[in-house]
Amino acid sequence: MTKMLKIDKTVSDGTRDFLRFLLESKKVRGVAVLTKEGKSGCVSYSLITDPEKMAEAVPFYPVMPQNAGKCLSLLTSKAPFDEPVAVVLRPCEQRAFVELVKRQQGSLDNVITISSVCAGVYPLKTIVRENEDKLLKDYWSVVADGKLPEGIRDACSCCEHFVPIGADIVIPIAGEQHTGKECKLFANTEKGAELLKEMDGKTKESELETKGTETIRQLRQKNEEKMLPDLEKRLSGLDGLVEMFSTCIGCHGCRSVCPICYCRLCEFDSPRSEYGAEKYETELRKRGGVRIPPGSIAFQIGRMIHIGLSCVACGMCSDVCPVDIPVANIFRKTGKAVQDAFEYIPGKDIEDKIPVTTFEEDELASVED
Amino acid sequence: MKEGYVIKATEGASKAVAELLKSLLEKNIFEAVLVPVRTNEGYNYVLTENTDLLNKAEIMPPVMSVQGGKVLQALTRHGKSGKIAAVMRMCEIRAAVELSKLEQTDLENVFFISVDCNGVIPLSDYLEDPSNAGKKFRPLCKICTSFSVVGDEEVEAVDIHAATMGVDKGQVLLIPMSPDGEETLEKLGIDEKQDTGNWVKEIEKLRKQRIAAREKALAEIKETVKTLNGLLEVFSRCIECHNCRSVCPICYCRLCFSDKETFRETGGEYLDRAQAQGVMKCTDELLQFHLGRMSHMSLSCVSCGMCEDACPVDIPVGQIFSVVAEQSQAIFDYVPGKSSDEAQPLRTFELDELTEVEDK
Repeated sequence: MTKMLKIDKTVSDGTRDFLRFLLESKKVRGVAVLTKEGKSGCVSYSLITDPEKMAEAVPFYPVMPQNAGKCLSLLTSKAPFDEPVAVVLRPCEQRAFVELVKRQQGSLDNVITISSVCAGVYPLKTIVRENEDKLLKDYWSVVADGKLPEGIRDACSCCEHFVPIGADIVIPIAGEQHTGKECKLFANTEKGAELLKEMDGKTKESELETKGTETIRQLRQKNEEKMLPDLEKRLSGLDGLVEMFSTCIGCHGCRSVCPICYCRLCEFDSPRSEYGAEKYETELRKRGGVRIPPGSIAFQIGRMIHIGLSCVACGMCSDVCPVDIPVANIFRKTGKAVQDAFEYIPGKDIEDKIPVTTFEEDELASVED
Repeated sequence: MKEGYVIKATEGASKAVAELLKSLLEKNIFEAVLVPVRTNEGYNYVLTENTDLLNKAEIMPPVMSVQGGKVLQALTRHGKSGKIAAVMRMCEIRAAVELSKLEQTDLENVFFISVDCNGVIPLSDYLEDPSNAGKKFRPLCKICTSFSVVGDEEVEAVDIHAATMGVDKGQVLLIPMSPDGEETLEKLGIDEKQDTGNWVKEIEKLRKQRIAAREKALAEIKETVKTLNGLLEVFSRCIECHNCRSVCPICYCRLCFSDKETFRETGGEYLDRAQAQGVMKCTDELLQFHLGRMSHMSLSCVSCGMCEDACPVDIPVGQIFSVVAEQSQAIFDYVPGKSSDEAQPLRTFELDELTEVEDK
């Protein structure tokens, strides 16, 4: 049982009230949350310090313009926040941030996390190209039905970590049928409980996970079982890989938006990865033809090796791919395989070392066997 | 009036040019050719010496997957290639020339064969339905005035131009554009020659239409971005993936100025900044990125439209950059990629420039 505060408002309005309260009561200096940008159906993460500006916040708008882990890294990589800041973010975004902190790309100091039992987000292209009002209406009515909205990112429809791990406050959305009239704030940590003090609402002890949560978990498992065989078939062998990435235009947008790919200069943009005249000559003699720029498959596989262990399967990479390659599905599948091998859940605990940065004596024996 | 060499194109212009490339290889005039090839679902530039592979060549692929300038950069950045023939669209050749001025390409051994370009379809429209090809076009292609090599639009780097517009169906007219081009065509022993009058007329006619369409389209775009609020609105949905920069043939920097660590502030400083207006977008200076990129590359912008194609949130970034490029290039009377010898305006100095500014 966890301490829970119930506000009789929609989940978005209740959360806005709570965030405003945090600023007014000076429990935090700032709040990082999604805000509406312009008229064109998009949102971005903003840092709000003025309680009045909380009206612009859309905490659970079903779009991920950037992985919030990346935004938080921007804000805290040079030096941590010197005063408390509350951050509203999705479970995969929180996990990404933890992974970045492990890589010294940000700091959790003074960061208070408010997360949700996530119902997923629409692909960016969907929100930009289709009727925004209708999408939002559909989303919330399906959520209130205890189901998963249609047309959300593949990564979201198959997500297994949609219940936040380690957030200070958790707000149930997926599998929660009363999001239209109730906002429940669960204090997941002592820090969280401290924040809820003096906030208007009814407090009681309650369970975060319900039957509804379980239904959503099963739905997502089924979705994954549906998606995997087709992906495995398409990806089999080198030929499968070559075909899958035959439309890749080499923009590397997948890498730019990946919260884990933090390198300022990527190995694959370094002179080491470039061919000189001689190398082209050799390849040409060997194969009769060379695709230029070369190395598009090597890039994908290399990036996979670099980030697979920490991939939180947020789906940003698929979202920005101009040629709709299901990058996230591929990375999610591979990521899961390597993560399982090391029994590692990226972002679960800041104390868990990234497996390749640590060593256990019996590891060698297990490979030898 | 110039004359061109006629080759048969009963199976289409693409096949005809592919056959031409085969004979160039067979006669050992070139070591390899660089040409777009159909690969599974996509079209990619392939450097090849294999005449069989040329059966899959597509001289005018419906999409532009990677800008040809960028392809030549990947091929020659670390030194010149062997003697090759490259078949490309005009905006790609012009980008390659700009890159040579930036020391990113070495075109000494590259023999350019250009084509009359109809334009390409946006990647997203092509993926939605490949049969859209030829029906839908990149917005910048629809208003492109540099799609061929007639008159003012001539580009020095071109050796042979493969003309298809205003030319009888079933034929391609190979027009020598350089002494090297002339010599190469002579070696091929093509008998039939034709004057280029119809081609010139057709190109001029189409260009006239395009100029009018361009004025109108760019005026509309200009209207949307002429104020700071307009600019902010247009770029408000930018997610800073920087795909526009990655695919831009001119943006060649390995580490972009805008990615500099110096621009980062401490958590406390960001909070102070947010305090100033009560709210601050968590961003790496969004508008500054676009304006900065614009000031860095606009004099060399060839208006190819790659940036717009790669934008995941449909910002008309190519059209906006084209509006600005047209104006900044006009100030310096500079046409990017036209001449290999002409220095980029910011890298050279003319004595009377200062007075010109003083007068105003």
